[in-house]
Order: sequence, then structure tokens, then C-alpha cells
Amino acid sequence: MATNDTLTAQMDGGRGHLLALVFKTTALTVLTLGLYSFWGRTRIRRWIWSSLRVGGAPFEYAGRPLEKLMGFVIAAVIVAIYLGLVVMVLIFASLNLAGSPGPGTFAAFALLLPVYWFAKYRGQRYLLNHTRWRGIAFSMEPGAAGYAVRAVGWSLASVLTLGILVPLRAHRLWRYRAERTFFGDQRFGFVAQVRDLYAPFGLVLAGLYGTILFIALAEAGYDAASIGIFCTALFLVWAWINWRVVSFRILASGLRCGDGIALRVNPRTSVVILIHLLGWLLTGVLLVATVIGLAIATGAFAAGTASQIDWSRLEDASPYLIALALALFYLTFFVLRGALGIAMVTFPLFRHVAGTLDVFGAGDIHMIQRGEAAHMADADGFANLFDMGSGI
Amino acid sequence: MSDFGSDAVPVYGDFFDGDRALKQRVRLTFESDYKGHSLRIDLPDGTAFAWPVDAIRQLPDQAPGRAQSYGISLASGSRVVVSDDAGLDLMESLGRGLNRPLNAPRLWPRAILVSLAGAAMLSALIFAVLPAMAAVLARFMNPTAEVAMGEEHYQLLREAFGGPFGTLEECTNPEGQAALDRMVDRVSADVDLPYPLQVVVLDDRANPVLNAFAVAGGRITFFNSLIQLAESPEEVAAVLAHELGHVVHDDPVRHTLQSASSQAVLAVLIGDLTGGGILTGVAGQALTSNYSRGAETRADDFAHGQLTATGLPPSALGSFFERARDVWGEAEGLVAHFSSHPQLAARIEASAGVGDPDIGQPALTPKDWQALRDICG
Repeated sequence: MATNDTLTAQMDGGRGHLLALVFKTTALTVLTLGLYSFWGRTRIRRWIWSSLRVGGAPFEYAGRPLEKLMGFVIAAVIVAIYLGLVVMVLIFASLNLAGSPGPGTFAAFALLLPVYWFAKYRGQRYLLNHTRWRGIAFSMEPGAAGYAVRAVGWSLASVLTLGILVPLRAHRLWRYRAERTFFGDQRFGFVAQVRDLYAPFGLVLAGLYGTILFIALAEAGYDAASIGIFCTALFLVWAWINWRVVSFRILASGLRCGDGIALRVNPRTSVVILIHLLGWLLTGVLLVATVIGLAIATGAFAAGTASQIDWSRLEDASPYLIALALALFYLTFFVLRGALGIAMVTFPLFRHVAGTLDVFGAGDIHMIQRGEAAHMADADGFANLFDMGSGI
Repeated sequence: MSDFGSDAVPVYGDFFDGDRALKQRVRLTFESDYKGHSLRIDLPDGTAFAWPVDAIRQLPDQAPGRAQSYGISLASGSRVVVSDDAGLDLMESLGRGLNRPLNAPRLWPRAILVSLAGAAMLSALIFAVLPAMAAVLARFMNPTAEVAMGEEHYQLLREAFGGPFGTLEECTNPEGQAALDRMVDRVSADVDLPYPLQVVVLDDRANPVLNAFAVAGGRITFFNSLIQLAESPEEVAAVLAHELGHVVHDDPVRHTLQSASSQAVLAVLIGDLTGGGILTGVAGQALTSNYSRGAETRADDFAHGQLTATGLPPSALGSFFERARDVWGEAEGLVAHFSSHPQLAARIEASAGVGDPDIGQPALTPKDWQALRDICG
């Protein structure tokens, strides 16, 4: 019974095929000056969702590009009004009190943080509402404002306690989201224990305080302290990645759906580090290759049109033409960097996590029914505005 | 009814009805009868139904792999999933129509409406609301803070225009300074400001800038090259009156508030679409690098009135602009494009149209004019 009730997961489809899609959508995004990004992102999500199969059944992403476009416009207007007015008032205050606009600008961007968390919840909600498995959609109740308030509160508390509350913060925010999530008519629950999170985070704190201690020693004039800084800082980086991986494992494995369905994931810190290193290395190589390729193509084109390139002619060229060329180059670089990151890092990471995913107590999954219609057409906009979810 | 399906090897797939998370093993058969082509789906409980082939779509952008999903609409989660060669072959035989877009409610009319409304609101924000709000706030600026802010901007200006030649030096020839002070006193007669006017000339002989600026706190800065280009003290006085107009109208503070908020808005909007920020600076600069046309026109109007009131010819502003345009016009490429003001011709015409007062006292005596021209030694 136990084995029959357990579903395993895997991700099909090679990176090559995803890369072809990524290059295609990047080219179209650049040629349309960014407009196609809504279509591009949707298509990449569809691909990744369809490649994930749990118990043999593929996931489906049902979001639509025009929904994303509308969401972006609405979010852009709201954030622009908020930011424009807030920035102006803060800079006015800052000029009058501090004599320079710096502190006001800083405060204005700090005030964007709640909007960021608001967007994070709405973005996750949109994704879940447009994610289907076995013909049934996930969904999430509204709650972005409450999430933003809690995120602000827990973040302040974490800072004020010098990081000691970070695991509790992570646990509470996960629980807030999990308990508002549904698969069909079944609500998710959350049973992860906060105390399990403290072991991996203790390493982070040790690394952090150790680094601070050695920096203080170095300031005090101990020459040997620099070796200590190097060692503790390196340890801190590892401990941080380990914390991210292990806390994800503990928190995600704490998810329950309905009465009896549980999941377990078991990602490995070493594999995650390896994927990142290799992925960004490949991304860098591909980026450089693309830029060189573009440069050669441009050069060949120029050489074809004029036997002799007169660079001083460049100054006479219309500045709009030059600006357009620069904008296209800029777009190519950044859009491609993001898209390659998805193919080279995000997808392998997902594949690694999916490979370790087991769903237990799945015997009764067929009893789950479609939930209430919970589609929201425009909700992805805020997340889109802040480039959330590593761009997927 | 065709027997095509029953002779062939049976083809199976998984079926999800969109109402329950129930996976049903179904038999798939292609059927062709008087109603047209359809895909017959035999459920395990013995019942059957058919999807018209015309309506069936392969879900778009699926990762290549064993499982491929098919459906008849986006809104319904009802799907057929085939996972073997026989199933894939059968679905492929249904034709290329399977790759058409999945049936879904139309969105683009609403998307166009939302986009237009959004663009209108953003334009209203950047071109109307923020400038209006900046104008209101600028009036409540604390004079002491404004002087401090002007001082900071002035120092930045000296560094920025010095370029590789270092910070620009102030020209302090005492006779020249005295001549300049006399001109300032005359041009700013009856102008009431909460702080003293500070007018200086910067030595830009290493790298001529040919311009004049007003920054916050009543600071007006001439570049020496401008004074050398002017053919009469009246032309310098006219430019001074124009800059004084910016000071009287609080343009520097307003411009700072407006550009900071506009750039913050652009940073978020542009940064998002592409994930970077270099364009933001360029776009923000293009949008806010100069005072708005409105501000320039108002400063011109102020200059015309003030010059007339102090017995100086407003047409000198136009004649100076004409001279400057000849020089700016000779600059090449990018520089020329961004420095030539699109409305310069209109401004020259406007200053000529005011009508000069009867010839009275010149802006400076010939001796003072020579001293001002020699202010940088």
C-alpha cells in the first residue's frame, strides 16, 4: 500500500530544447523592444511546467501573455503614482532637513519593500492559480496585504535581534502562504518545526559573528586576523547557501495537502552549489559568444555596405539611431542573461529538486475535486514589475 | 461509422476530466462519420464520448518528452495525455490543426484599453501631476536649505564642466567683479528674493562651455566663453535677466524635485522590463536634463519684462541666441543635437517682438564692459 501511495517526480526535456526556446523568445523580445517579454515568459513557464511530471502526469501552466501585460500596466501605474509622490515628498523633506536629496531617495526605496512583499504574494498566487495538475488547478486565497505587513514586522524583528529570529521569520511566512493554498478543494497545511531550522541557521550566525570578530581584530591591529576573515567569510558563504537549501527542504517537506497527502524533497547543498557554478559559467561563456557573434555580424554587415568604415561618420549619425542601437544591445545583453539563467541554472535546480520529490499518501488524490473558480486575470503584474521568481 | 480504429492496435492514453483529480486510462480511437472527424474516448466505466478533431489542440510549448497533453479549451482543465509512440502517432495523424492556438476567451480588446489608459495615466503623472506638485512644494522650500543645496550643486557644476581639466576656477578680477555687480544690481532692481543673489563667472577657457546656469539659492553662474561671445553688455544683461527669471520662479528646486521623482518612476518601470538600469539614467536624463519648455518661456517672459522695466533692450536676448546658435550649430553629431533648443527660433522672434524701450543708459559703460570681458585675467 505504501509504495502504491507514493508518487515520484521527474523533469523531462533537455536543456538544449529549452535553450532554443530561450534564444527565440529573447530575439523576439529584443526586436519588439521588450513587448514580447510577456509572451516569452509565458512560453518558458509553459515549457518548464510541462516538463515536470509527478506520478507520470505533467503539470500545465495556464497563464496568458495578455494577462501579464495588463497586470504589468496596472501595477506600473500604481507603483509609479506611489513612488513618484512618495519620492517627491521625501526628497523635499530631505532637502529641507539634511540639505541633500540622498537620505530621501534612500528612504523612498526602503518604502518600496512592503510593495515588494505584496508583489511576492500576488505573484505566487497568480502562479498557483494558473498551475494545473491532473486537470485540477491550485489556488491561493487573497492575502497579499497581510503578507506584506507580516514580512515587514518579521524582517524588523530579525534585524533588531541580530538575526536570531530569521528562522522563525521564514517559518511564519511559509506557514502564512501554505495555509492559504489549495489544490482543488483541498487546503494545504504546514507542519514544519521551527526548531529544526535553528541547526542550519546556527552555522550562518557562527560564520557571521566569526567574520565580524576577525574584522574587529584586524581593525585592532592583529595582522594574522586577515586569514581568519578569509576563512570565516568563506564559511559564511557556504553556510548561507546551505541554510537556503536545508531550510527549503525542511519547509517544503512540512507541506501537507488535505488530510493525508505529504511531500518530501531532499535537495543537496553540494549539488546546488555545483549547479550554480557550472550554470553561471556556461551562461557567461554563451553570453560572450553571443556578443562576439553579434559584433562580427555587425562588422560583416558594415563591411558589406561600405568598403571602408569611416568611424568619424558615427558622430554625424542621428543620435536616435545610436540610442536605438545602444538600447537594442542593452536589451540583448540583459534579456539574454536572464533567459540563459533560466535554462542554465533555474531549470537544472528545478530538475534536481524534482528528482528528490516524493508525494506520500497519494492514494486518495483522485477524490480531490475542482475548487472554486479562483482565476485572477491581472495579479501577476506586481511580481512582474519586480522581476520575481528568478524570472520564471 | 468507420471501423478504422477497431482493426488497428488499440491506443491508450490518460484522461483527466477537469472536475476531479482522477486519472482514467482511456482508449483513443479516430472516427470519421457524417458529422465529421472526431477522437472517440472510451472511459473505463464503459461510457464513451468524442472530441471533434477541429477543436483538439496540443498544449503549446510543451517540453519534449514522453507525455504530451491535448485539450479543447484553456478554461477547462479537461486533458488527454498520451505517453507512448502509438498515442503520439495517433494524435499526429489528426493533422497540423492541432498546433493552432487553444480556444480561450479574447483578451486583446481589454488589453489595448488597459494599456492605453495606463499610458495616459503615466503620461499625466510624469508630465502634469509631478511638475504641478513640484511647483507647489518648491514654494515652501526653506531659504537656508535652498542656499545650502545651491552651494552643493554649484560645486558639482564646477567639477562636471571642468572635466579632465579639473574644477573650474572662479574669475575674481576686482574691476570685472565690480562691473558685474553693477550690472546685477541694475537688472535685479525691484526683485525681492529670500536670499542674496550670487553671480560669478567661471573660467572655461580650457574647454569652452558657452552657457549660463541658475542653481538653487539664487546662484547664477556665467561661463567666461559666453561673455566673450556677447557683442554688447546688453546681451549679457539679457542672459542674466533670463537666469534671474529661473531664480524668481524657483525653477532649480522645482526641477530637482521633479527630476528625482520622474527618474525614480522610470527606474522601476524600465528596470523591470529588462532587468537592468543603465537605460534608466539615459531616459531620465533625456526627460529632465533641461528645464521644460514652459520654464524657459516663462524665464524669457520675465527677462523681457524686467529688461524693459530697467531700460534695457529685450531684443538683445534674441541677438545673443542667434549668435549662440551659430556656434552651437557648428558642433557635431550628438552634442549639436542635444544642445540646440528646438524652439530657439521662436524665442528669438519673441524677444524681437517685445519692442525695445527708448535708448537710455547702456548696460555697462565701455570701461566696465572691458573690465567684465577681462574678468578672468
